[in-house]
Amino acid sequence: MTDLAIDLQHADLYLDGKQILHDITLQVQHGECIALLGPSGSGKTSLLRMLNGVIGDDLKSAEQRSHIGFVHQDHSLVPNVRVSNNVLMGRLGSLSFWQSLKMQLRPGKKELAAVHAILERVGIADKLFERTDSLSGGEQQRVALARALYQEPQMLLADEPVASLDASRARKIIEVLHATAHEENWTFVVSLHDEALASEFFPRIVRLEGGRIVSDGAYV
Amino acid sequence: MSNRARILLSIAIASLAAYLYLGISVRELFPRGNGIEIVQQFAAAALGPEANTQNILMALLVTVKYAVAAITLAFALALPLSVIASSSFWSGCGITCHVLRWVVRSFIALMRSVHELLWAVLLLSAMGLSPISAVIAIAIPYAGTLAKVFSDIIDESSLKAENALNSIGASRWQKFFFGRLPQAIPDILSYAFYRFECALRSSAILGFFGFPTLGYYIKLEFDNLNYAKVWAYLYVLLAMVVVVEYYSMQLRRRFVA
Repeated sequence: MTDLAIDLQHADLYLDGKQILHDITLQVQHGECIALLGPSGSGKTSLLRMLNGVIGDDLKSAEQRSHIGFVHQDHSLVPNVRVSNNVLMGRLGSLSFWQSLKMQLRPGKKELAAVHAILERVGIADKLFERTDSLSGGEQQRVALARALYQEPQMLLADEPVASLDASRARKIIEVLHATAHEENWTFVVSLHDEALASEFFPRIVRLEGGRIVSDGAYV
Repeated sequence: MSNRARILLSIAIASLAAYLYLGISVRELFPRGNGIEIVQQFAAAALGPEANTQNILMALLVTVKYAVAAITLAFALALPLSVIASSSFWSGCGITCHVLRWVVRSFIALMRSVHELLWAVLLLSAMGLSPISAVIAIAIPYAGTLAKVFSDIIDESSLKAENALNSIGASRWQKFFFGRLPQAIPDILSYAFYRFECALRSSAILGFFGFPTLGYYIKLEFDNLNYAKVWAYLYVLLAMVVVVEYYSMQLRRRFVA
């Protein structure tokens, strides 16, 4: 019996008339963790966005996307609000507009405690009530990770999530994400540029070049 | 010739044509006959302003009260109008939404295309010399200008946060109100503070129509040739604008930084 979270068969992706991805076949089991490796422009971000269902032929509804966490390379946070507000935004997809308005304006103690616990895991608990744009690039990236963790998705997609962190912090964050994905049985797909990091945590590595998958398996 | 040079040349030709058409000459810049004496008296009075403290304080208070009431009303009207007038609020919506947007944009254009002095003339005829007519006269065109600028600020905000919220299943309204609008708030407040300074000047000028603001006393003393008293009111107006500019700069820094 198959239990696939991702099942792409010979998928192509065109953006503005240009072919970005070619003949992608990728199957990922529920709860499996894989890393995408490849040079810049190889199609890692496009593949992740296609899996997210925001581009390509298989567009996903907002309800479907509310179960998919996405960590963007450029943080993509709301700059002039508090860290707590940004993290709380992780669950917007599962709330009505009025519920989310209440949560943004007057978050409950329970929600704030949950946000604090997650920020503790990524090492910035002391920044809970600080303005996001007052943080360093690395700290902002960890807020983006915290937002994805707070969402508690079934699948977590991360596009170069540790690109702006130093080696030791990057390792720590990948360790946290990997452990959480295992504990919660999330499917976890992450694009990385650090081969050593990828080989240490991910038994399965998918390599892309020129928009094609060139290898899929254990790190060689 | 490059496009930029062509545009600059066109502007230069248009300006020159306007000056020639109006028949403005440099000689008219200098006062003649009796005018020289008036200028001398007016300039000399600048060094010895005569203040009627009670009148000044009363005029200052009324000027500020009118400006605060007008800008508050204008802001309250402009914010919802700017949201409806922004294209980002309606992204992904059908033709009906865009028709509604253009109706609102036209309404905003109508509000700001008539100057506050003209609104004052209209409202004075309709409502008489009451504070409400002064407040509304300022608030209508200010609401139009604020709404236009606010909607542009909203549309120019970064798409990144909105896209991030889209990827985790946020609805259209959630993306707009939690992803886009918060980014625009500092610039919106900053511009509103600037318009408050403008509202103070407009409020003072409405005194020329009989409202008891600084302008009323300036006109009264000017007509009576009491230039020393005119200067006192002008200095107060200048001080008021400088003080408000200082405090609004502090507030802007706090919100924008």
